[in-house]
Amino acid sequence: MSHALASGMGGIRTTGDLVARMQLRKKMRLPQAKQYVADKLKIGVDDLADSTVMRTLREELDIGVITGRARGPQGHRGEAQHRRAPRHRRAVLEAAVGR
Amino acid sequence: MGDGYVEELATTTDLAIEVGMAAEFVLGFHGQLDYRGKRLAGMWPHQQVKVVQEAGAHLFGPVVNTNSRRSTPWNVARAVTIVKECSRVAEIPIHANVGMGVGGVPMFEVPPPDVLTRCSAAMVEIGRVDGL
Repeated sequence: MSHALASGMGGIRTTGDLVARMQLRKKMRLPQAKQYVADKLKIGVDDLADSTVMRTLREELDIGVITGRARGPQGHRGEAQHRRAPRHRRAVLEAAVGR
Repeated sequence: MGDGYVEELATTTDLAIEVGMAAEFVLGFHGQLDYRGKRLAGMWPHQQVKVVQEAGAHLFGPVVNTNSRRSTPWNVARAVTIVKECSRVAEIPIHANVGMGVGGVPMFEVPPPDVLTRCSAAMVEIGRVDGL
């Protein structure tokens, strides 16, 4: 918890989950991973850790937010729902996470 | 590392592999182990990371043990110095070990948050790690 508050990006609250995924999947260093995610989301790198910006954007893209929303994606269940989602919605998520 | 587990996992699976260390300095009793001609004993994190990335790992976890006879500022400074060089030469992401007894954090069951937050912030801002 202390680490998260002092030096974390906020996980699904902002873009911590997406940046971490780029490190794990593509061996990207932190600045490179942040830039990649920012480019994909069409926002600035500074906005990646802004919870207000990202809350709105994550709701628009339907890629999950920190609190559960009615009919919104939620963790693994959300991902399973997304697999059944229309193709264009799935494409937005895949573009966002760089698959 | 010497047995090629990392290479096999990296080439045969889709897993993201993190290789961490037990200490900042590979001890002498590993003197007979080598990886592609490089002796593991005597390696520091900035040398360990080269071997790990050559093996195909996705992440490297450097560790610097805390000297419990020294102060926290001394330990943080030492940990950050070693990790900073490791991060400078690395091509893969670096996730430093910062916990009870490593990364400048005191050897204590419940590390004080004021110490822990300083260690993690220093590790990110000065050590330039990609994660903890």
